Amino acid sequence: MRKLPILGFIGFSLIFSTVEKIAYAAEPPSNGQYVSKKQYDQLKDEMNMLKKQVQLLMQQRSHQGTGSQSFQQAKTEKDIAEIKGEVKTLKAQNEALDDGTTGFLLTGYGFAGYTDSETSNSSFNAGFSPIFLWRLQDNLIFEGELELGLEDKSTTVGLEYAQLSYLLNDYITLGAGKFLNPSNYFTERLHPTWINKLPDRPITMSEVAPLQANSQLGLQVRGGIPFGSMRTEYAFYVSNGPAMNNDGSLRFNNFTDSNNNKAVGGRVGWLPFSGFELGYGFEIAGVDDLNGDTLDVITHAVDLNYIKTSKYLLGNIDLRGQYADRQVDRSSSSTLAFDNNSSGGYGQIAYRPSLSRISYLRDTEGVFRYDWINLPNTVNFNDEQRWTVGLNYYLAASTLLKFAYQFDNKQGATNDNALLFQVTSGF
Amino acid sequence: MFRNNNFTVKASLSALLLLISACGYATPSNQPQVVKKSGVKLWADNCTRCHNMRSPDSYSDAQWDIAILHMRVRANLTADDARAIAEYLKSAN
Repeated sequence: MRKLPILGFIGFSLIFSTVEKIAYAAEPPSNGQYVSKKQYDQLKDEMNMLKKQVQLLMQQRSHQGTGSQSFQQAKTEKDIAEIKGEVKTLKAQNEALDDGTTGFLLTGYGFAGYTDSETSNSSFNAGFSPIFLWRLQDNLIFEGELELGLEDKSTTVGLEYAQLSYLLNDYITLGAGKFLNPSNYFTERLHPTWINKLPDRPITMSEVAPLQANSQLGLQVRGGIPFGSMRTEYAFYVSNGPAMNNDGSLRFNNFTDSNNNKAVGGRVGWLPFSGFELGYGFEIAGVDDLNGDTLDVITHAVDLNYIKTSKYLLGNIDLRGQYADRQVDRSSSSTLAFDNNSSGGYGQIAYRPSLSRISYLRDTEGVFRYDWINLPNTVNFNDEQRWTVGLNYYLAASTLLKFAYQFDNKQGATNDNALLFQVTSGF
Repeated sequence: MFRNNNFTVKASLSALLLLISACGYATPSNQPQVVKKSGVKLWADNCTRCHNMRSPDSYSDAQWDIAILHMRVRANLTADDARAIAEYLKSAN
């Protein structure tokens, strides 16, 4: 638009100069002061023609200007569209990095170890347990843990737990799936290798033949309730429960229930002051014997935990204990005609001079554990006692080296003293 | 004594429903006086019951939200305690 006045000026100048030239060129034939009518008309026609030409030129230029504007506008619109596209892409990328509504966290632990025992060949071992946590809503979470291990010539994969928990309110959480046994404090809270202070588990919590189940498949309700400066916690469950082997022992991998009986159990914990917790757990279940008769199985458990950091002790002391007693009804089957009662537990003390001025001492920890199991008095079972002394060194808060020696006393069988080593890390 | 295990299961489930109903209707006025502790104190008290404390900068804010929800279920933390611990960890990471 700004070019139009200039073009007008140019056109006017052209007309003026042309008229001037024509005026000078059309000299009067007689005395030079007047033009004839014919000359006048001729000049007028020429001037009109020039006017039209100028107008035509101006129109052409105007059209050219509008086309340029349209081109510029189209180019700008295209640029804006490209920018919008880029913003949309960046926004999508940013949203992908954002927490979203379903948060996910991969955590877990792994270990490598070495065992040299008197009754078997020395061997290295290793394992890896990833834990998958999905927060589906503020009050809904899925938790799953895999247990990857090595056994003989193959890699084993186990589902440690897979549970969906719904936080009903501040004091009640409902859960369903396969979950760690709430009535077994060690298994539920202390079994991960980076938490367990010795390279192996207490006998009664072994993975092969535990006194209490390590996990349950069913439903649970749990929570914590504050009372002044104290707190209580509870967990109750209904699950498939155990099944009975032919020798009278129980197996807990009863994933397709062997009968219609369901196990009912739970634990109540009391936390009267900082660092102290006392718990009572129980389970009532039914198992079928060889005759198909249902036998009641009643288990009671008590656990005690005390943690204290003291400047007088120059560090922290960690006391743990758990005892369980399991009674199975006497069977009418001749092969199971014995008192099928078992009991056992462990006591453990650990000391770490975490307030010492010497740096390497701060990361060192001494551990002592006594564990035992009393089994039914038949040829199939052996009572056992163990004393384990350990020394740990922390490379980080959740990474440590464990060295231990275990003195074993197995009645009616060869004692299985063992040297144990493990390096483990929780992440 | 417990031959009728199904009765035991049903009785237990009924008791659980009663518990849920009772807690569901609980209001602040009829709950015991609770002593409030700081987030850092609760973090130290609750986490060390089982394991060494991880540094607050081990996780991002979003990750702590998930980890604390996980631990609230596992360790039976109260809602207030879990919230206070999460707030502390997120302010210190």
